[in-house]
Amino acid sequence: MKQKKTLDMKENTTEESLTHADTEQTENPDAFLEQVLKPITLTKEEIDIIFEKEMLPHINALYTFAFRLTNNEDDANDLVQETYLKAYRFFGSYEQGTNAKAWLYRILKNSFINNYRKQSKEPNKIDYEEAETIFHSEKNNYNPIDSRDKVFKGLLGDEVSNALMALPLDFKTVIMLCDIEGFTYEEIAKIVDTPIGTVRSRLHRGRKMLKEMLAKYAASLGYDISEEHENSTQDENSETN
Amino acid sequence: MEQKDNTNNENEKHLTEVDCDEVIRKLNMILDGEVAKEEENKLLHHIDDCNNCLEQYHIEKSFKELLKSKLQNLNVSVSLIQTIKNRISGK
Repeated sequence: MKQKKTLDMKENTTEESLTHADTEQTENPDAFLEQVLKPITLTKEEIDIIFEKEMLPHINALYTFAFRLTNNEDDANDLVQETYLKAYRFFGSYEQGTNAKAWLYRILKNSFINNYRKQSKEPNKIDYEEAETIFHSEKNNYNPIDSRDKVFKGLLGDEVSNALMALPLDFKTVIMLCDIEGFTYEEIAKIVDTPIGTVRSRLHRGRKMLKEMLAKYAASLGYDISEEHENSTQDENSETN
Repeated sequence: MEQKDNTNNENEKHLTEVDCDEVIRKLNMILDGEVAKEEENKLLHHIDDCNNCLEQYHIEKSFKELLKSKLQNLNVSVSLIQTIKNRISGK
């Protein structure tokens, strides 16, 4: 069904001579909001109550997500406001009893893309195949950096947060959704609109990048214990023949 | 899938339903709760008996915990909450 939708969109937009790389973004990311599941039979008062009970409690988490995406308080405020207004306006596309938080995150992520991807062409975007290649080529070379937990113990929240925000968008997004918010891969796939395999490889790659950044940073602060660094994994595996 | 590395597993024959490559590749999935119970048991069994995998498992586990503990949620301003409430109630 989704497939068909994409095709329809492409037919309609051929005149605009889209480049191939852009096709992923040509579909209106908010299309899912327009699919009203069933006519709303609730009164405005009832909707307001559900909204207050199920939607608003997630506002701090959403704001934090927005702030780490935009790195700017005003932009984060705007994004959160836009998200809630859309959620309210398109309340009919929310299936009650499902994960309200995941639905809100999806709206926020799509709004962010709508607003910001136009401005900057997101230079750091790494495509699926590239990430997959890296993912598989790494299995014999696992963990070349020293990332034992004592290396990171002294880091402050802000330092970890800054490192996270410095990651390319696709990677920091899945890390936030998985490691901080605890969404399942399936929920994340829906929020960021990619296959689950992509979620998995982005998580793998993103965590590795983050670990390297933090290890370097910790070392620069003097938490360096790299003298003891051992390469056991690599040594053992390279003796196969 | 690669051929199993047989260099150091004389004493781990009883647990080699899965190999180290597979375990390492799935460490994050285990920690993220994304592996089905039966498979998870096999993988964890291997991890319990394999020092290298166990070490990697703890590294990944503590990194995940580190992120969760250091990256606390921020608080949104009260005025934003009020603005949103006002706008949806049409004030």
